[in-house]
Amino acid sequence: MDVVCTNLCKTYPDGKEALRGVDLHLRDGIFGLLGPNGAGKTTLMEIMTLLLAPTSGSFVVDGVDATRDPNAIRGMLGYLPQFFGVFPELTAYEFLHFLASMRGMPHREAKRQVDRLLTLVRLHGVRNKRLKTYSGGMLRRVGVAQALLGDPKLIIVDEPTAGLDPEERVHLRNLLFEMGEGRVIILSTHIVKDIEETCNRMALLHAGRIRYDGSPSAFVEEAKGETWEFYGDADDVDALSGRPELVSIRETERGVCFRLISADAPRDDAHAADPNLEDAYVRFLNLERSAA
Amino acid sequence: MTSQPLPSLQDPASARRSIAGRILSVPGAAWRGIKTAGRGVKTAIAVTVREVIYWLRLFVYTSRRYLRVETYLALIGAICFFGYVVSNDMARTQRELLAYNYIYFTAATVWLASTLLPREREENTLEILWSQPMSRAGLITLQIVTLTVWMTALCALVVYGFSRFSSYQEGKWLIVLCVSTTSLVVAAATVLISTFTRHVIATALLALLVFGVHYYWLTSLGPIALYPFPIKAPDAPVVRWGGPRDPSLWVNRIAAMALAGFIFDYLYRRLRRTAEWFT
Repeated sequence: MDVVCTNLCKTYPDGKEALRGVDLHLRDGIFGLLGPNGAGKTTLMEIMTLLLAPTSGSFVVDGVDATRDPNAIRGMLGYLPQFFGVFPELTAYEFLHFLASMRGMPHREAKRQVDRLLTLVRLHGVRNKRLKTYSGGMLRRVGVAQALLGDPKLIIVDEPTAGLDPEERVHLRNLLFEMGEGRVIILSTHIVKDIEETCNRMALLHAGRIRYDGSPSAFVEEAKGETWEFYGDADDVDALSGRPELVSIRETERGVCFRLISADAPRDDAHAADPNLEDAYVRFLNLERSAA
Repeated sequence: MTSQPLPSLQDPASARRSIAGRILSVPGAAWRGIKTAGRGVKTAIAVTVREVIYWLRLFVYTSRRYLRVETYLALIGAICFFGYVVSNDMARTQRELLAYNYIYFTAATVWLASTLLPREREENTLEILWSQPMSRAGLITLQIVTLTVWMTALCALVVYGFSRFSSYQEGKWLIVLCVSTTSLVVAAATVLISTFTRHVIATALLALLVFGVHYYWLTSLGPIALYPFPIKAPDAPVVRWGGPRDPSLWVNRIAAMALAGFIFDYLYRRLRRTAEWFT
């Protein structure tokens, strides 16, 4: 499975340039898409789901050009949008069966798949309840199930774990990991931990451009030697809070622990810490800000 | 010396055999032709059946989605409106009956059609639908046709049910035909309007305004013929102008209210955005 974006550009009618020449070549596995708000993630996803046409550039899935045969690509696509809505008057079974019917699945096959997917997302027991009675987390799981309908080869999920409790989040992450075999899964999220724990490759999008494309571990490696921790008191909290290089503040038995990104040790008592993806991401944003 | 290939000579016996074989194979060829044609017909039937089942299933689900409060209100509205028309014996001619049907079904179609795409947009279901392997035109057509079918069914129920008690009794099927084509056009136009207004209420009000204005003023001008009339259109002067029961008076008021509502809706959203911006 190959997904190729070549020089994708998108300029909105108001003149805003959302994408400025995005090149990506994705193969089987889970691909994380990270970036601050307004970076162009949603625009890129909407182009990939064919909801939006690019101003220029091409999007090809398994040799099929999006402009030539969009329905063929839609047939290979499963999509979970960030703001996922359902038809409240239908039951979960009816909703999924309706979407399966739209995909042209015969009744028996649709029924089999819907039952399997509802079991997979742990909703089989409540499949005949109307969707308006579902909680936010349950609706999110219905969204995941509909994205997996028709055994799609390309799955695009936008903030899939938003609104899920920790157990459901872990379950969903594992599910995505299992589904990654023989498929391309594109995961866009603000939750850095989701990318760290599931993706074998990631891209960082900033101001409409891909600024990093590689493995999460290599990205984390770049922050090595620039992540610091030290203990302070309430005065330090006032002094440091709001500073862009600050990653976290947490209460510990030894006092308030500050974690921040800096090229040099911020204080004499600061010690170097092992960076994680969040540290590397904050470092990247700081570099972008200072470059701007 | 290089050897030259000899020209091939056809064996007369084999040629005779081939002619004989061909003659003998005519029934076989005919049979094969019939079989091929049969397979073609079978495939065509299978494809047709599959397509019919596909669209029927989508039609059923789309209809299922209409079963919500707006539809129930439209049904109650039909009972009240036509109950009033029949009890006062207001439809004595085909044109009068058609006129009342037009008034009700235009309003009802606008009411329900305004909840098609704008509601999908408001409930965030549009992205899911449009990412399915089905053309947008197909999806919109499915919704419009489903609505038209149910409007036609309701019209048939009204015309054949309610008007049993009215003075006018002939040519009812023509009224159903007129209403069905009108519903189709009104639904399509409302969906078109919804692409500009984007919200359910704004769509309904603007469409009501457009059709109200069109029906009571512009149809008499002639050039605009939005309603496909298979029979002579019931022009506005069908009813007594200026009388106490003059529907145009009510439509005028509804149109004015719709206009005010539309402006209010727009201002409200604008104010809300401004408030969000300030806070």
